[in-house]
This record gives sequence, C-alpha cells and structure tokens, in this order.
Amino acid sequence: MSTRFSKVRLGPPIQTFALNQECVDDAHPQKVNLTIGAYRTDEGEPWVLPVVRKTEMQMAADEKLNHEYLPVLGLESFSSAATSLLLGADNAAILEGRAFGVQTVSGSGAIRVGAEFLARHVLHYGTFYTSSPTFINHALLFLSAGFVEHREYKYWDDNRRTLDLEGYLESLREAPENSVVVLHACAHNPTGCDPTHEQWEKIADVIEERNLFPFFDTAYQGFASGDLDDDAWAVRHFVNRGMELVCAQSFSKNFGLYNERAGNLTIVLKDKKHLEAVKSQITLTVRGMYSNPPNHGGRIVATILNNPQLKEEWKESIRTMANHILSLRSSLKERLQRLGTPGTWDHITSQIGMFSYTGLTRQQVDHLKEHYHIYMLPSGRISMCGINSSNIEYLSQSIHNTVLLYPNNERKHKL
Amino acid sequence: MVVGPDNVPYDGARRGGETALEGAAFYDSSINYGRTYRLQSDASIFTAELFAILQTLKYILSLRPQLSVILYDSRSALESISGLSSPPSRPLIIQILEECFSLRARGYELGYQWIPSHEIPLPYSDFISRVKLRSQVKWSEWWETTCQQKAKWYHGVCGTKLATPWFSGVKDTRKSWWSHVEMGPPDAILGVTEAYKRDTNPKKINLGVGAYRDDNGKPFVLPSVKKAEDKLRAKGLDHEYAPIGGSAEFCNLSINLALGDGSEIVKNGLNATLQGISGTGSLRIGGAFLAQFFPGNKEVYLPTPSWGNHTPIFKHSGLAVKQYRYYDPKTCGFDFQGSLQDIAKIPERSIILFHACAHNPTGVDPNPEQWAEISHVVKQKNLFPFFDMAYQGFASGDVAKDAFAVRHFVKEGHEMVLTQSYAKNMGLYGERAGAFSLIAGSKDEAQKTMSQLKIIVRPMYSNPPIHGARIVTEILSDAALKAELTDVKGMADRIISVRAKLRDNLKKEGSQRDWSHITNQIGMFCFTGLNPQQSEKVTKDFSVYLTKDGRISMAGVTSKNVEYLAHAIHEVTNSFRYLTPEGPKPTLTRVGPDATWKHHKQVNDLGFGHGRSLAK
Repeated sequence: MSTRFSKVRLGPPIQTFALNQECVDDAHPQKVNLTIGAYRTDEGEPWVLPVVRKTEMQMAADEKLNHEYLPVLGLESFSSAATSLLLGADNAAILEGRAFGVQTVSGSGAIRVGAEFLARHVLHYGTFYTSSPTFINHALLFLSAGFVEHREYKYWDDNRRTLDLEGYLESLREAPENSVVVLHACAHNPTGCDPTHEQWEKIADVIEERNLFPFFDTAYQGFASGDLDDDAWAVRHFVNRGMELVCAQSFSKNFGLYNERAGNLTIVLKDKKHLEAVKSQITLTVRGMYSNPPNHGGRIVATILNNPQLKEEWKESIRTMANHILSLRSSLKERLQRLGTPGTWDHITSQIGMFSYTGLTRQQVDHLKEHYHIYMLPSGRISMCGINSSNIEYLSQSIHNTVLLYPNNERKHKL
Repeated sequence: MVVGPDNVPYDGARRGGETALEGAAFYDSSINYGRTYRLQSDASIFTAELFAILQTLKYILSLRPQLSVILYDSRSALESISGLSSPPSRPLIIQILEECFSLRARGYELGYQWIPSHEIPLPYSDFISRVKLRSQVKWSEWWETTCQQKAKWYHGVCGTKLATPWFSGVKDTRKSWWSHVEMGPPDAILGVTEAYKRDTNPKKINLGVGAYRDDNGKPFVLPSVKKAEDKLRAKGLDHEYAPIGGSAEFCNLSINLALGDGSEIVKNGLNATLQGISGTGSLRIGGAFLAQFFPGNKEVYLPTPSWGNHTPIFKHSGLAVKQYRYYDPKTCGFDFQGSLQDIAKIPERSIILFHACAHNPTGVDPNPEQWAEISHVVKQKNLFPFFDMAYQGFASGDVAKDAFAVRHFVKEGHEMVLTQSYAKNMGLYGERAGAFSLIAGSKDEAQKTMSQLKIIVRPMYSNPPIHGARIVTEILSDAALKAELTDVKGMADRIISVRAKLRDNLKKEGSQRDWSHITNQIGMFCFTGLNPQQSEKVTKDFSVYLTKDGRISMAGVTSKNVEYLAHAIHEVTNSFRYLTPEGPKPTLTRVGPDATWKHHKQVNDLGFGHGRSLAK
C-alpha cells in the first residue's frame, strides 16, 4: 500500500531541547549545562520546594479530593488566587470585578489561548511585536495562534550590554494601531535586563498613545528579585493607569512545578460588562484545544496561595532561590574581574532572573562547547541555574581563556 | 405568597443607548426578596413587562409554593397573556404560557391580579422606589465621572445634571478593546449541570455529565489509581519538565494497550506516539498535523451524530468537517446500510473519523462483522481512518474487546491515526492523560512525523502535564496493578446492570414501547429516543436533567433512582398530558399559529386566567 506521509520532512530540532540533549549525552566529567531554565540546588540537583511536597502529602491524605474534570476555565480558587497574586488583592480592577483569570497549561498554554482569542475568533488582530532578542517560543506561539505578521522592537544594546530605550520607544511609535506588544513583566528572557520604573512609564505612554495592545508574560514573579510585588510592578502600573491588557503567568519556576503545567491567563478589562462575553469566547477556544486544564499542579498552587501559612513558607522558598541566583551572579562577576578577563562584566549582576546574556560571541560560545564542554545557547544566553560552587571556578577560567583566545573586537571586524 | 413583577424604566419612559437602564424586576412580599434585571437597550417596555412576568414565574417555580398570586399593573401584558387580544405569537408570551402550564400540571395554584400602579401595596412600592433610586445613583455617578472629560462640552452647555443620559440612542464610541466581543453560545452540557444545581427537588437526577458515578451517585477514585499514587509518592519524584512529546514510557505503554502487547507495529517502530492533553488535546494535535501534512482531501467525515466537541476541534485545527450517516432514530440503533452508502460517496483520500467503541453520544457500535465490512469500504475508497478511543475497557469491561475495531484496521494494513484518553477507564478526568499515535508506512516516516508533531506541540503548550501520565505508567507497567484493571470492569458491569434495570422498570411501569436499545447500546451514554419536547418535560416535571437530544449518561443512574427514572420516562412518553410529536408543540421556534392557539386553550382550560384567583 502506498504510504501517505512520505512527503513529511524531518522538522528542525528545537534548539534548547536539542542542546540540552547533546549535553546530557556528553560523557565529559566536567561538562556544564547552561541551556535549560530550571532551578538547581548548589549540588546541581532539581529542587522540589518543601511546601510543595508538604501540600502534595496533604492532598494525598484528603479523602474528599478526586480526579473529576475541572471546569473549562479551570479551578476557580486557582485562577482568582493567581490573578490576585499578579495584580495585588486590593487592586481596583479586581474590586470592580473587571479582572479575571483562566487556568491554562502553564505559561505557553496561556499565551496560546490569549493569542488565539485575540487573533482568530473575535478581534482579528494580525500584527504582534516581540523584543529583539526574544524567547524563541513567543513568535511561534503567536504565529500558530493565527497572527500573520511578526515584528520586533529594539530592546538590547549589544555594545553597551544594556536596554536600548530610545530604540525601543522608536519602534513602538512606528507600530500600526492595534498591534499586540509582547512584554516581559520581569526578568526578561533571554537578556535578564529589565526596564526601570521610569522607563516602564515611558513605554506605557507610547503604548497608550499609539493604541497598541499590551500582552504581558510573567514567568518569574518572585523568582527575579525575591519579592512578589516588585516583580509585578510593571503589570500593576499598566493596570493602574486604566489600561486593558492580558498577562500570561507561569508557575513553573516560582513553584518549581515545571512538569505539572500550572499557568494562568489574567485578563483586565475597562468595563465589567464585557467580562461574560470575553469569558464565553475563551471557553470556546479552550474547548477546541484541550477541553479543560490539568488538575494536579493547579490544585497545589491554589492550596498554597489560599492558605496564609503555606503562602509564607512558599515566599521563604522563593527568597532562597532568588538569593541563590543573586549570589551566583556576583561570584561569577567577581571571578572574571579577578582574572582580568577583557570586557566589562557588570551586566551579570545588573541583569535579573534565571538567565544572563553574557555577550559572548558565537565563536566564543562554540569554542566553549567544543573545547570545554560548556553548553549554552548560540546567542550567549546562559541559565544561571546551571552554575554551582563546584563548577564556577572551571566555568570562569574557561570563559577567561576563550575570551583571550577570541577577543571581542574580532567580531566587530567581521561585521 | 404574593409576587409582583414590574418593569423599571427609571423615569417611566423607554431609553435607548447602551447605558440607559431599561429593566425588569419582581418582588416577593412574603420574604421581602426582589430581583432586578437589565435588558438589551432595544427592548420595548412591553417586552420588559413580559420578561418580568416570565422571571417571576421562574422564581415561583423554583420555590414551589402551593398558592401564588401575581399582582401586576400592566393591563396590556395581562390581556395578551390571557388571550383576550389575539392568539399569542410573541416568543415571550409562549414561554410564559409554558411555565404556567408546567406549574399547573404539578398541581400548584396560580393567580394573576391586575392592580392600578398608584395603588401598589406598601412593601412593593418601597421596593420599586429603591430600584429607581439605585438607577438614579448610577446615572449620577456616571455623570460626575465621565462628564469631566468626554462630555465636557455638554456639561458646559447644560450646567446641571440631566434626568436622562445625553447619549440616549447614541452609539457608544468610547474606546474599549472588547466592546465588540459577542457572547459565545453556552455549552449545552454545562447548562444542564447549572440548572440541576439550582433545582431543589430532592428526587432530582443529573444525567448530563459524562463522568462515572458509583451506585451512591458519588465520584469514584479507582483503587488501583490510589495504589499507584501511593507508590509514586514513596518514590519522591521531582517536578522537572517532561519532554515535548511527554514521557516515552507512557507513550509506549499506551500504544501497547491499544494494539495489544507484542504488536508488529510497535516492534517495527511504525508508530509515532506522543502524550497529549487527554482525548481533546490529542485530537487537536492530530487535527493540526493532518491540516498541515495530509496529502489528500483535507476534510474530516464525522458520524451523525458525534461528540459535540469534534466539530470545533477539527475546525479550529483548520480542517473542513462533513458527515456520514450513523445512527438510526427509528431503531435507536446503528444504520449500517446508511453508513455504507454514505461512506461509499465520500471523495477518495478523505479523512473519516470512527469512535473506536462506546460511540458518544448514542452508545451504538457496529458489530465485528460490520466493522470488517466498513474496513473493506474504507480501503476501497482509499480513505484515511482517524480513531477516537475514549472508552477502552469502559464499554465491555475488556480492553481487548473494546479495541477490536482499531486492531482489526491495523491488521488489515490501514495507516491511521489514533487518540486515546484515560479520563474514563482510569477515572483520571481532571489529570488530562491521553495519547496521540500515527501509524505510518515506514519507520523513517514515523520518525519524521514525530519531529513535526513536536513542532506542533511546542507553540501550543510546550510540554504536557505529567501527574496523570505517571499514574497511568505506574498502573500499566506493574503487572499486579494492571491485573487490577478489573476496576474498569467493575465500572462497565455496573453500567451494564443499570441498563437492564432501567429497561425492566420501564416494562413494570407498563410501557408499550420497545426499549431494547437501552441494553443494546454500550458505554457511558444511552440515546433514549426521547424527542426534545419529551426531554424538556422530563426535566421540568420530574427534575430529570439530560441534554435535549435525549442522551442520558448511564453513570448517573443508580439502583436507588432507577425506578423513579423509569416512571418519569414512562410518564412523558406515554401520558396524554405530554405533547407528543403529533400534538401541538410548545417550542418557540417551530410554533404555527393554530397549534399555539390549541395549546393555549388547553392552558386556559386548566384554570389559568386573568384575575381568576385572588389572595385577600
């Protein structure tokens, strides 16, 4: 019988996952994996938050719990707690009943549902902006959801290794009306570089002026600075100005629930009279994609967020994780400075969150991989979590040697 | 009890414009309770009046007092209800008549009394003025806040606050991103559950939802699932990301469950299997893959009827959706001839969807000989089979028996796609465990397909939730626990036994109809053959909740409620009081003037009338 799918070509591997696999397969004893964004303890082990373990045990002992379907829009106690966590429980939008949450399949799922709602069924928006550089999956999520035109706004100044605010605002001023702008609420992935409060205000000004639509993505609330409110500042600023927006939230990092896929899509409206209609349309989108979200992770998060004592324990764990990463940043910077590695390395500590954009060139990255078995994305993005006290010496020495071997200015000649 | 409805335009005249406050309200003096409603801006006062009456009746219906009197000040509304003016044609009036009929049929007394509006009894007028006051306050607030910016010019001209909004009848052009989002249609099954929750009848039965219940009507966590969860906890597993395609072990166990251990397909690596977000998520992945890569005619043919969500899933995936005949309403069974005729007409190289077992919603499956014949025609027409298997083991209690169709098609050499769900057979509904498989012509093709499937998943949700998959893996990889899949047999047996009990009890009630389809059908659902009118009646008068197509979930039937259910079904299918297809139809859309008139006369004969009964 003739075969039907002989024309299907082998798809390109997904970069992050492929590199990770390459590293896993590498037998070198000193290999360093800086590719995947998942927290590791100083022993390089995954960490299940103690409060998560405890909650899972409690859930197991609770005879009332079962495995019944959740509603299409998820567990109400989860989504409202998630929205309150994002906006602050006393936020006017919540009190006035014009903000609501939808439980989704983690952050990616939230973006897909939000984007599909904006593009396909109702509003027919076609253009979206992501930062340059961006989290690769953002573009794919929006394009698969039905958006047709992908544009980028300037974000990162490669030479100064900092935010290019002027370029940023300039690109937004040129954006056509109703374009959707994807914003990283905190701990920008991959650069780790966030706008300051004043810079956010200017960005909000232009978005409002040009009538663009803000689409936030927050994957690191609490994880970036250790403080839940600080990390939500940008979103709350937009909401307090009375702007409408959607925000995708992931609980992968801050709860360490990577594979349970707990996420939320918060939607803030100007007027609550549109709320039921918006909800009904999102229901249709979800029903045709996966019917209803997975229970286990959502229930863990809901249990913790709705119990003041557990919530305090959770905040403690977040601080532990954030501080661990902050200390890794400063010790990596110190080592490079002590070695006298050419170039400035202050950006390592001024950046925030799980990732750092080292500014290493493609050539340097390749050399690090081939010669030292240190794996990072070709863009020079490293996950801070891959570093620990037993490999930091090796890592800094390797970076030092590599930068000496392939000085940065060589790249400028090529350009 | 005295209940009074009213329409509440806040200064007595109709208002246009989005923020005008055309409304309706009622008040119950016996418990000092009232409700207000806001209507669409283009509703007339008369509509508001009728709407108020209708809401009042619904309220009465929910309380079920022995005697109720409705006081009302709108003579025209009462006259049109009692038919003094003309035969009713307005949908609202017909709805009102239906509610009255339903109340009277249950033996409740109901009366209407017209009262001049200036003589409204005291608590009632208090209520009205409170509502009016609230409307005024709302308008004042709006005036104060908005006129500072948007209507400054108007503020300047008028100076003082107006009694009515200046924008009456003007389209609201204020910028909001969502103002043109329309209300999506409600999910029919969800609506049934909501209505069920509101019902206060102790005998109420919910037959809407497709989740298993034990004989006490309670959700059931399988003992094997509990054991698997205990074992998992003892292992102290982490919560790291799963691969995009999910757990490889889970995928492998799933395809082996479907095809049988030692299948040649799996041995030769011809399957591309990927963990999906239960059945729906797996269907969506399949739809998206076929929309992109299917080399033939990108149309999916569904059986009529099919699970309601199949159509949106495939449409959202980008495939066209068409139908082939499946269910025969005359026999409440499988329309074998019709199916074959329709399948023979499907254009070559199209996609055809089959429910692998326990067809949802009808519970009607082809027998093995019929499957063999279907396979033959499908091959002849070069169609591409898409199997949706949501009930393996749940239908007959035997996983191999329920997989007959899939395994037969594989044996016959079909390439195909297959979706599996563990929601029902392991009771893992909310954990979203399922799998998608494509059975390809070569190993190379299967690998390429796998790479493309990952590219579909990554920008949808990145990677699947693992908790449910771990439970499934624990059960299927442990010989002792797998043997305990007898849990699923227990569920299947209970369903099969209540089918028999329902049929027996209908016979005991003296029903002359042929109910053999109840036991011939299989799985969670039963297509009773009740028409929409009968379904509605059985809900209204017996608090038995089901979807309008007459589908009942057998899981909601227990040894305790089966007698009552049989009685209710017999009553609505037998008793003259209930309108059979030959009689006048009280549905809103299909009403002809004559039928309505007859129906309406009947209502009047039952004692409903204008001002007939009074409470002093």
